[in-house]
Amino acid sequence: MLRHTEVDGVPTLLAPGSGPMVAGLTFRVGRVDEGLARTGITHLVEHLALHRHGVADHHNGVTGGIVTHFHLRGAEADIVRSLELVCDSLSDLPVERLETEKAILRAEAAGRADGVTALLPLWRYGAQHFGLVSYPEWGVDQLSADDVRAWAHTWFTRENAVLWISGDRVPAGLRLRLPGGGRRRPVPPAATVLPSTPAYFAGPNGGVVFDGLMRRHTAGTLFGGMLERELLRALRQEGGLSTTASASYDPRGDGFAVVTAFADAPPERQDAVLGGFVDVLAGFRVGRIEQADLDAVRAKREEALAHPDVHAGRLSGLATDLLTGEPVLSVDELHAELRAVTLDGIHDAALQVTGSGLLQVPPGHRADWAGFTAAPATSSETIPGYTFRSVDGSGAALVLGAEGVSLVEGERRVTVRFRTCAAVHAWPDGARQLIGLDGITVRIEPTLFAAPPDTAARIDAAVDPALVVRMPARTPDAIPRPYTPAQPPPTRLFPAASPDPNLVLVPGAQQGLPQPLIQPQDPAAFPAGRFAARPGRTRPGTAQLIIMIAMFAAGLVFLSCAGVLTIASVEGIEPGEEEFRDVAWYVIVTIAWTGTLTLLGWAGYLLVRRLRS
Amino acid sequence: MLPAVPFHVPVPASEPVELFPSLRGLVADGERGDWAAVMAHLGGLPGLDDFVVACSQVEGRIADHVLARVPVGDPSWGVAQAMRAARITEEGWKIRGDGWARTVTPPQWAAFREHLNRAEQLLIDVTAREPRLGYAWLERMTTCQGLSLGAAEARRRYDRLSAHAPHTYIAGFRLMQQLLPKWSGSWEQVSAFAAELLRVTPAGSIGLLPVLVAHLERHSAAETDAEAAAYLRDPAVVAEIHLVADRTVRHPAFQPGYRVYTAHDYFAMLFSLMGDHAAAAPHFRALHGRRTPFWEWYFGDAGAAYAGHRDRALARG
Repeated sequence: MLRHTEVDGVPTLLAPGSGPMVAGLTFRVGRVDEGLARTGITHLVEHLALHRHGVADHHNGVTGGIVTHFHLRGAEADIVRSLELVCDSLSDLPVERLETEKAILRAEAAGRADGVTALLPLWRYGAQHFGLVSYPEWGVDQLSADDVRAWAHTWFTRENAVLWISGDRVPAGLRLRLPGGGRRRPVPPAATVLPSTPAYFAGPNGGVVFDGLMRRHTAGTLFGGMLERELLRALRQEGGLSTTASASYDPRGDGFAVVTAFADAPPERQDAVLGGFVDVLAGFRVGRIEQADLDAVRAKREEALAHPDVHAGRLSGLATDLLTGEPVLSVDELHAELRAVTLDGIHDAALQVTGSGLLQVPPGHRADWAGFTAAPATSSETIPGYTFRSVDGSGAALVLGAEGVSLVEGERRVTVRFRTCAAVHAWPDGARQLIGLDGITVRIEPTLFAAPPDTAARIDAAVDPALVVRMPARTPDAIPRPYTPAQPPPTRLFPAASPDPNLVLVPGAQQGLPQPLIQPQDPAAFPAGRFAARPGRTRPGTAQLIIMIAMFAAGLVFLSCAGVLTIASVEGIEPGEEEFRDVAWYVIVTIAWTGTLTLLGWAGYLLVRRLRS
Repeated sequence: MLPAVPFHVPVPASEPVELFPSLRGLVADGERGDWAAVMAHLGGLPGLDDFVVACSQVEGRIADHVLARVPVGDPSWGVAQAMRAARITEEGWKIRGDGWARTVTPPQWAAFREHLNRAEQLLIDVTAREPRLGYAWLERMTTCQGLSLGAAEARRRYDRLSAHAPHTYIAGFRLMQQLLPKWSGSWEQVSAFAAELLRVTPAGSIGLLPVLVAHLERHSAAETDAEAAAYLRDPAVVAEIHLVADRTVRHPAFQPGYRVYTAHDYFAMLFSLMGDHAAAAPHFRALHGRRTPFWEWYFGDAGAAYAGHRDRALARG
């Protein structure tokens, strides 16, 4: 049923299908490969590659996490022509279209609603590799023609591609003139930023979301089906708490798979949906699994495999398996694996998934009571460096160091080190937002801290220039201003009872992304210039340098005076002479030495600070 | 001449073990660590309300290692684990104290939460393995309240309990507590739940008693004594209390089990507060001079208040 062949060095999968011919070209490149400062580059290449087809329904591109697909449907001659156009475009991208396609991507992003599961990767993996799928396409604006060409020639190569066709043969005359010289690209490492699992974080309103990991196994697809069934039973049928619930099983491309589950929750029943969700997971964890449920889910899956077009329908998934080096199973092999799954196999999958779980709870909720650890929303340490207090007197502090930056308020701190920085957002007004590979964000607003005016320039110089994302100028009312004394201090940012994990990361509450530690105030409430910025401790400038030198000079003068006086006092005492001079003499000597020590000590302190900076 | 006996000799509260001879054997078995005997006793009880009362008498008296060594898979494992959880919860509340939240210090809060989290996690496993064990769901209603998990979650736990043990007095009582304004509920929710109980609880069932909690709480939450008295004189309130009495203590099918003193305490107290001492009299007589600790919920000097109301009722009735 499934045949392997090759077209121009590109591995090709063939499987019979009914209806019009369907073909696809799949590359092992996706959002996990991009890097935070270049998010969107694969999507941009995909758009440029399809441009020569114009806008057509049956020619489509999908940029996924680990692969990018080009899907084509139609008459054989049409498909041959389209595949050749895609390949030619990838070899020589129509970069004259760059700005137009960027605008289209921006419009798509604005119209796209984030999925309910959008935040989980960021909390599990941070701002790199598998975590990148959580982030907006921040890189698009500043990508150049050279950037996209280089990306296409590195990733969209014949060595990194698989062709698949529904049919019994390769269409005559099909040529794939893809860039060569590349290699099959492995998926990046899936390093987690969670110190312990199961873990939880508070997300936006909408529902309860969960994912967990397991070694890739057919039992996972059945476990996913059973989890969905059980969530629907417990939360919809039995409790009337949710209207929808779902679960899915998705291979990650590295021998592991992610089981993701979701249940919606109306605001007044969020706590009960969370409780019911936790209990469903607990049921699987302790192994309360019914054979009848397993059989029902298996029957449904086998029914899907009996569909006449199943072979063609599996092709894009098999292409992904081939590209990631996973076994390419036939339908018969899949049937056999499904039949072999036992209740123990399901329980084993459930234990892996619940043990590695990450739970997104509705805002204002926690899951520590159910044995989930709060996912880190802050850093464990502060960078050593200069401290600048917030000008509003709230007690928050910005720390600028040689190795990175920190924001500190009370016990809570967020730190980004320059060498583990994923991206820096740079606004023309001097604001900078640093995002670490761990997903922790530090936003530096010049209006909120009395930092030196060259702060932005120093940060830009300290990080890899390729990580700096230039942001468009902000309107004056989008620039935060400090809290005026009349306003209560921003204590809601730091609830005493429960640390709010929503404090980390990027702008865009509307996108459901977590917020920075120091939140910009609503500027409309504050007339400009109402406050006087309190100077913080600043880096020594020229004036301080002069003061330092003057102090050294004065210190030396005092030292010589003190020395002369002391020597004179010792030498001046002759045997038989009066041994004790009057009190004034001792006062003068004391003042001379005290002055010497004070001036030299102070000058020395200033010198050390200057050297450290 | 001997001095006259004071008019109101305070009446001390009696624990169930003092009121019911059959519980004495259970407590002795528990103290001896004879888990099989404890389970044999518990297994013979007719309903969840009696089961919970019996458990409350032993859960603090059985050594933890006796409970901990009951193996997973043993039919009594769930009960043993739920008893451990109940004990951990109790310890947590002792650390917290029973004052208002603002009087609790941060270290007290931390230790309280840690205890309740531990208890809750034991109970999650118990209800996952044995979803029909009402005792565990009841303990989860207690942890739910202490951990402030929310009213909808409390209701879910109540529903899971009621699915297998409907019309349980103590479950209704816990949910009614959760719905009170002092536990961040509202009088509307209290009234709605009382109306629901009146609608769904069959006559003769002890599960109707929590309706009386709504009235007692309304009464004790009144700003002034006059307002409190006026509330209990409201004809609709009076009629509802009599309706509950007709369907419970005055009903031929009423089988209160270990809750018999609780039931008569409710009516003795309420009718006394209403000033209807004649109606209170039969309940004081049924109490035989005993009372449960329930009076302490509403009276500073519960023993004297009980004696005073009883003497007035028996003098008139």
